[in-house]
Amino acid sequence: MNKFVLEFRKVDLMVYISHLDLQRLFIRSFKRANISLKHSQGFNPHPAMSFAQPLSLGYEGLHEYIEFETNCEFNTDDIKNMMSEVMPIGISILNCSKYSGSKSLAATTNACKYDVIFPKVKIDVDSYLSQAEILAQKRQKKSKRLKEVNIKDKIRNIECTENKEDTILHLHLDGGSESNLSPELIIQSITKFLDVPVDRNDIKIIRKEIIFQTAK
Amino acid sequence: MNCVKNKMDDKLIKILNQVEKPARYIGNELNTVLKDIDKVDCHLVFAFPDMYEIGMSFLGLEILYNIINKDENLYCERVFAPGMDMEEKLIEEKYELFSLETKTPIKKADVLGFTLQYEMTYTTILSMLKLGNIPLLAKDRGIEYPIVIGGGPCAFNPEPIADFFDVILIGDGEIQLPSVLNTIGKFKKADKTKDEILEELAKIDGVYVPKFYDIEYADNGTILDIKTNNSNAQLPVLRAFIENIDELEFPTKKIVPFIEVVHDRAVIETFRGCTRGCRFCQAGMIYRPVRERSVETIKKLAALQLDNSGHSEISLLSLSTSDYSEFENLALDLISDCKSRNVSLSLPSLRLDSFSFKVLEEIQGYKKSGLTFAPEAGTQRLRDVVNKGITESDIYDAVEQAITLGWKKIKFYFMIGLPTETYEDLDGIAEIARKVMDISKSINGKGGKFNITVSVANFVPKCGTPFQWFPQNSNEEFIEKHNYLSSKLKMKGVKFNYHDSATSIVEGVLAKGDRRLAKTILEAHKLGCTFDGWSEHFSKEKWDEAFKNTNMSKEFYAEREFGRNEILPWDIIDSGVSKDFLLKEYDKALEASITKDCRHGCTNCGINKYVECKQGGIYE
Repeated sequence: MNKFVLEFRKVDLMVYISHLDLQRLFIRSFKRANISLKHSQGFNPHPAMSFAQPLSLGYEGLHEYIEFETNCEFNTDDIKNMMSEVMPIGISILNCSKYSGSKSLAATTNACKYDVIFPKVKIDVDSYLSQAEILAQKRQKKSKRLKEVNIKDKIRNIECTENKEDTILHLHLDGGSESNLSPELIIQSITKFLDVPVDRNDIKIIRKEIIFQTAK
Repeated sequence: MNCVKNKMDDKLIKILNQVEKPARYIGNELNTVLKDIDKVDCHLVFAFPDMYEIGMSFLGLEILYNIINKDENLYCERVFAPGMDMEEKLIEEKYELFSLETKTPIKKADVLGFTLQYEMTYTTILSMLKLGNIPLLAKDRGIEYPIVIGGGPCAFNPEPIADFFDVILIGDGEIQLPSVLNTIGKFKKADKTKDEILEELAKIDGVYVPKFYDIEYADNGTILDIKTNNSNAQLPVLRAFIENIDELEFPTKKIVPFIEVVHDRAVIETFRGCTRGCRFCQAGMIYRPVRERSVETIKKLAALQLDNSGHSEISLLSLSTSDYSEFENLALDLISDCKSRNVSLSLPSLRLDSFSFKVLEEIQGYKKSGLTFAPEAGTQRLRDVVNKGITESDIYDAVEQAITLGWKKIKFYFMIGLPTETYEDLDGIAEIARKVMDISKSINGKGGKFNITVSVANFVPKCGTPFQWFPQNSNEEFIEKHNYLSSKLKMKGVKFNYHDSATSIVEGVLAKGDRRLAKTILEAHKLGCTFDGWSEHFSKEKWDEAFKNTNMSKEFYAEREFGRNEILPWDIIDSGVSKDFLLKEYDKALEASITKDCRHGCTNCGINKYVECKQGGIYE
């Protein structure tokens, strides 16, 4: 089995390309790098390649992961170097390792850490977290309607720090297929609850870490 | 590379956070070029007056981008028309339209170059200038603004937009454009005035500087005389030619977009020009003679482009794919190359003969996409008028083969409002649809799943063609014909589509208009017209108001038959095809007499006076 995991970073201009765009970008990059991916069987063969966790449009990702299977053997350093050469500015390949897990990366994704950078404002995280229920409006996938949900159990931890210009929320949230919480719901509910006067477009979000169930 | 400015400021970041598909505006795609603007002599921003997804499917942009950026004294960047949401944000935030590569305001470029692919982009050009805070009229732009240039098929009648452009380039751009840019760079360095620059440019082949020409009009509105007011100005301006395209620089590092664009694939131009001589077709006239790339060059370019892009599809580009003189060899070679690479091959505009079917079977297999036929007209008489060299049996034989091979969907393209058309010709369209459905029944049986689309375009006479003198149908005539066909084509399994007639009429006016129309285009722009080529944006009411407010008549340009001896607005331009030839073809059209494909014998179009016509008479 020639299964690998690439760790990469998606920053700067590249925050504006979507998950699907990123998928296409990787498929083409593997081709350019002359790394032949294993394809699924059937009428519409697709390459054996998937991300640990999709990253929303507009977010920076400092440690993102993609797993893939190649047709022949490769040295992990070679993959790292070959892929680095064909990537656009804003996506850097940080590491490449062999993957021996039985489950997919997506299935083992457990939690994510984000930094949410606000322009300097006061945010009283403790009172937000001390609510019995933390309610947020979540858009339902099928009906597109907003539904009120309690997100308290999905929040693992929130800390707030400040520097000269910004107020930063450090979020540690459930992530992955079992239980997932988007930072958008935190932003929405915390700004509403604490009446924080801030425009969503002035907030920057960085995913700092994806945490897996077992050691990767 | 990283030291060159391509970063965004906070204001732009905030704007991009609020618009749909922000990746349209970020640049940074693979194979794009970053240079230091201060270190080049001339900085061009290539402007495509439509959305990113459309513009990035246009090979001409890639060709020129590649050639200009190979020159170390020059730099070419891109800009596209921002979407309506982006346009609103840019205005709201007072953020000037910028180039994708270095995010420089387009007004800081030395040259802003618009490609003129379609008349209905003219108001979008004005929107882009406005978003860039650049005066719309050439006379209002001093040397501190970019020199605004244009080129492309619509440049063959540049008159309606003459007032907006400083320079219009006619013909093949690969040699001419770099030479124009280098001249501008040299003269700007020497602190020459704008007029001095324009005078120098006017000496270059195929360069038209509108302000050096004066037009005098007769009382009846037609043109009395065209005069030059500068000794460097050529009259007529002969199109720039490139004799040998096989040796020409061609992009091997195609830009790879992040978002999906209309044609997201590698593409190789196999030849330029066409020998068929369809009388309505502007491309078939203004790109003469046929100039081919060799099989070897095409294969080499294809391999390089695929290597450098990682694309999983490749397509060949020309006006008629199967007319390539070594098409069978090329197709067979490419099929096997693509198979070994796991890349799909797309061959548009094939002539549907038995070889093409063999090729299509090979490249599409069980995944049969739609098949398209363009008989253009419903009866043999009218097909002969337009010189579309296909017969009834050509159509039905091909349909039969397609259905036998398992195609379930066929599309037919027709034009209505063609010269000499009668309702019998419209009946002919319905007749073809009926017969095709009958053929399907006889092969597939009654319950067989099979359907066709009949797509009807409204004929727009274009300059440079034998039909340039003909009047266009009125809006009412078009609507009546659409209604007639609608009822005639109410058949099971037949879908009928047609284009909006009001759009076609404005297109007709702009295609055959003169300089006086600039004020109408300007007025339409002021009334909010933009993206007129998109049916959801086109507003007949606003255009009607623009014509009314500027006291201009649509009918004068679109519905009037132009006189044989009349001075035409586009007589300033010489495509190389002689007026004599066009007039002869016009007369033959009226007699429904066909002219052979000139590979079977020269038809004396006059092009070989300027450039060697290698394909003329090769099958004689």
